[in-house]
Parts: sequence; structure tokens; C-alpha cells
Amino acid sequence: MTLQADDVHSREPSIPGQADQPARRIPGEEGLWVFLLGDMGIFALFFGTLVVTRADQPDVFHAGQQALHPWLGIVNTLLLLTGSILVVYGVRAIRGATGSAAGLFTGALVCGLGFAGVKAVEYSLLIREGHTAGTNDFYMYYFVFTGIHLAHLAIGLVLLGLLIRLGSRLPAGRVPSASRVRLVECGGCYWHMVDLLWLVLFPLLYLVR
Amino acid sequence: MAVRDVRRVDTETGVWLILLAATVLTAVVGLEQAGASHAVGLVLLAVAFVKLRLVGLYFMELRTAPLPLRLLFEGYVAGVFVVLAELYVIR
Repeated sequence: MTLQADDVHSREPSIPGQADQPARRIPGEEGLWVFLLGDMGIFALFFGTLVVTRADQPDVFHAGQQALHPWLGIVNTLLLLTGSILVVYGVRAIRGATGSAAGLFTGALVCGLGFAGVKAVEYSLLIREGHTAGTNDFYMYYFVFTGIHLAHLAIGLVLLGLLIRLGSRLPAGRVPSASRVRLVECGGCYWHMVDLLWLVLFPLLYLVR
Repeated sequence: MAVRDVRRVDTETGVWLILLAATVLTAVVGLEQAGASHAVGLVLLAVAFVKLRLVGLYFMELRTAPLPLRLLFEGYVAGVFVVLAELYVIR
């Protein structure tokens, strides 16, 4: 079984000193990385916009940060990181044909739903306290950027649903085809990008003064 | 083979634990800071980009990706951090 699973990780011919090094390979598909890096580039513009506007309106940003609920943001970061490690384990389970992938992806889905739930609580708290996207530039960027991130998360949840379905059709010992593994890797990498973008958005909005 | 696979999972679990610890530590530092400090802000930004790099290399498996893809990612991490840090300090 292990040998079959390892077919997916084809190894290059032995090179002295590199015998144990896995072959270099693109996780998922090439086209996926064009999309992921493009999306990350757009978010880099968002990050820059936040830093520049903060410098122009330090008081507005400081007051806005004070009104946020940072512990909800911290919980959300921990949820996304935990979802990511579960996706890592899920991808490994697919490759190793252990039959546990569906459960692991479901765990990641629960983390993602938890993130969305916490975000909904935070949005409702802010709106109830009188802070909306129209209040000032800080809240405008807060709602727009976290909203766009949330839309990415929603797409990730749909992909996780597909991975759960795929995983549930692969009982233990049934080695998936290489193309199916690449599909799972694509879903996994997208999910990690959602995590990765939040890792910068969170300190920029909540912590950096 | 099995030993190697277990070790790989353990590496990623270790990275996950580091990411959790860094998140809580930087959040505490960020929330405890008395006023606006560029030094603290830069440290928080730097830690964020180190975390981002760890997610890319270990979770997205870019550590074993072909060199051009890995360099694109490393370039993104370094480039965006340097530009943000510069904007943050200069402006």
C-alpha cells in the first residue's frame, strides 16, 4: 500500500548526496499557481492601501482599532491555522490511502465555519456599536477587505465540501489516481492561501499601530 | 518509508504549533503596546510574514516545489514585506 501511495511522489533517479530528497514537483496544477499568486498580488495591494491610509489618518485608524474585538480575531487565526493542518493531514491521508481524509477535511470545514461564525458575531457587534463601512476609511477598509477575505473562505468551504465527498469515496487501501491527488492538492493549496492572507490582514487591521 | 512519512507529519505539526504560539504571543505584544511604536509594528509585520512563509513552504509544500515557483513565492514574501515595512516606517 505504501509503495502504491509513493507512486504519486515519484522520485528522481538517485543523485549522490540527494538520494533521500523527494523530486521537486508543483503542488496541484501550474494554472492554480497563476491564480493563487495573482490573488495574493491583489491582496498585497490591499495591505499597502491599509499601511498608506493608516499613515495619512493615524487617529482614525487608532480609534478604529480600539473598537475592534481583537480576541475574536485571534480565535479566528487559530481556527484557520487548525483548519490548515487538518487539510495537510487530509492530503496526506488521500496520498497514503488511509481512508481518514473525509474526517480530516470535515474537521477543516468545521474550523472554516467557525471562522465565518465568529466573523458574523464581530460584524454584528461592530454594527450594533454604530460602526459601519460608511463610518470612516478605517471601517470601510475593514469591512471591504475582511468581506473579500470571507468570500474567499466561502469558496474554500465549497472546495472542502468537494474534498470531503472525494475522500469519502476512497476507502482505506484504495490508492487514488495521480490526477485525483493533484485535484486534492489544488483544493488544499487554495485553503492554505485563505489562511495565508488572513495571517497578514489580521495584524494589519488589529495590531499594528 | 513509514518512518519518513511520520517524521514529515511531525514536522508540519511542529510548524502548526509554532504558528499557534507565534499568533498568541504577537497578539499579546500587539495588544499590550502602550502607544504607536514603529519598532513593535515592524516586529509584528515581520512575524506575520515569517508565518506566511511557513504556511507556504510547509503546508502548501512549496519547500519541494520547482525552483522558479519557490522563488516566486519567496520573492512575494520578501518583496511585499519590504515594501510594507518601507511604507510603514517612511510615511
